[in-house]
Amino acid sequence: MIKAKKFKLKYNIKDYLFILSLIIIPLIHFIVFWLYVNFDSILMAFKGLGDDGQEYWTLNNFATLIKDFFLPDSIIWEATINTLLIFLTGVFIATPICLVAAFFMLKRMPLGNFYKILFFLPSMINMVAFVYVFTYFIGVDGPLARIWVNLGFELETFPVFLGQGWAMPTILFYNIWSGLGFTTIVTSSNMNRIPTELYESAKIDGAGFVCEFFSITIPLIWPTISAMIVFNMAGMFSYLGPVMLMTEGSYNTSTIGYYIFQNVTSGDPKLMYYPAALGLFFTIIAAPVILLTRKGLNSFWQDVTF
Amino acid sequence: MEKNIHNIKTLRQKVFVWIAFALFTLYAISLVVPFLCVFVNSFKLERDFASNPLNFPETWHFENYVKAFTELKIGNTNLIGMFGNSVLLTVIVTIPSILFPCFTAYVVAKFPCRLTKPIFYMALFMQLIPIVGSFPAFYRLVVTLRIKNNFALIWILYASGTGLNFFLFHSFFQGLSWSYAEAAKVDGAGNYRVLFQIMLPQAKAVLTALAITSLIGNWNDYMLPFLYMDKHPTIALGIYQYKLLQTYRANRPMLFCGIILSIVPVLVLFAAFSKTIMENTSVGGLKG
Repeated sequence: MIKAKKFKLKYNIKDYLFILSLIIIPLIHFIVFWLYVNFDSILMAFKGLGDDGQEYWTLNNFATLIKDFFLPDSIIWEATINTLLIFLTGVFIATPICLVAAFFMLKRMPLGNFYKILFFLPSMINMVAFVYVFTYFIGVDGPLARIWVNLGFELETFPVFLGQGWAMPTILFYNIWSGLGFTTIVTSSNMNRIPTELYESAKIDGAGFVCEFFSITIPLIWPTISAMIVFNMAGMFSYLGPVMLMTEGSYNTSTIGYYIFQNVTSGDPKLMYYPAALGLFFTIIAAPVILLTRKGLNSFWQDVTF
Repeated sequence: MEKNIHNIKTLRQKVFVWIAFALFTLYAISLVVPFLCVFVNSFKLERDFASNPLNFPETWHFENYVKAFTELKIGNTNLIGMFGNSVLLTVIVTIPSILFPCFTAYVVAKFPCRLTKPIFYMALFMQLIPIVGSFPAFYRLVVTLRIKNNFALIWILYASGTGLNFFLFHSFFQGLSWSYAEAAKVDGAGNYRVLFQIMLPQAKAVLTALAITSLIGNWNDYMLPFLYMDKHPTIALGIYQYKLLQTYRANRPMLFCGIILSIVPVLVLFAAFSKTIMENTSVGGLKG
């Protein structure tokens, strides 16, 4: 057997110049805004800012982090638990609802096409508008409160949804409610790709809805579901929109993403270093967890092309 | 024949579908009613609104919408200014966010080699692994590079070749036949001609679909303007800032006008391109 020439390039010089010309700007972007930023971020985790404006090396950030994790009332615990809640409600409440809803959309439900468009629309609306419409509606001076009074109750007994005790459940509810429609549409269009012959043969064997759902639909769109779960896991650390727009972190609604955001945008440069340490800590924990979860989820059903 | 397979036959199944229909309808009502309330109340004056938010307006103040363009102000920027900022910023950031992933995906898909193959895996890694806490370093770099509040430089933040758009373009270009390109190369065409005269025209549908969804996403974005373009508020940011002002001088109907006006352009775009936009979502379900 003739050994392949070791240094033969796959393409000629012109091709390589072409490739480089197309990716040079994204490459510079990657080096500056990903490589350098992450490198600087790791360094920041081990630094602080003195009153003289000079940076100094320190392990204080991690000392504070460890202290905070031993204080159950600390904002770090609150943020961690809230972030986990966001993810868990998404996976264990929103996803199953969307799967069942999408399944029924398959079943030629009346007004199916109209609902398809209607449920898609919220994803077209900017989050500020959407949140403010929602908070107005459930607010103490909104229509819901007015209906409450008209039903004979005292206004003071109307729950302050963006207040103590209610705020986090309200945010969780908003999350699920605002995303249900769009996720259902996406899931439904994925379900539509399943060949109908499978349903035909299942019907011949006497399968009902439940059997179809668990034996055909779920296994075949499982790669999409598991991808959604993994992306949600990766994305939960940057969750901050509704928190910022609804409560600004008050009433125990802070999340990891919001806490970092709050510190960075506070205007005080000294507050930038602890979030960097916090972030490094979560990245080190999250990375293997996400990879393991991905592996674990992918092992449930074999990926089938259709 | 295909359409019939999902037709329901048994009474039990019919009941389930009707229950599902009832729940869907409840959900649809819950989506529409709050917006209707906001829309109706946008025609009131603040004092009428404060006294009863449930009533229809006694007088419909259509002029609220005209007034909103000048009265809904943040600093020196009124709603017209915000629209202008929104249009400018949206166009400026959408172009690189489509082009660079497109070019990167093209070379990775059509020129696989030791230079380009790692790009795919890096893109996957960057998508899957959250680098939490890089925001402080990122923010201060943007400030240092004077990109903040700078229309001429803000596009740089969108010059990444990776992201979801990369994967969508990549799977498209992978499926695209290279035979036209080969024929063109035989005729002496260079790589640029092949890209711009053969490959990209075939990608028109994907480019259009992604451009529209990116346009809408960037129009709706309030986070980037909040962080880096706060001196030139866009509509979404303007509404956020105007809402904060409500604690000092409440004029909720004006805020509602702003909310409705911020939604209108997107609804128009959606009405015009609904099929393209909605078809694109099925591609959004990426495998593994």
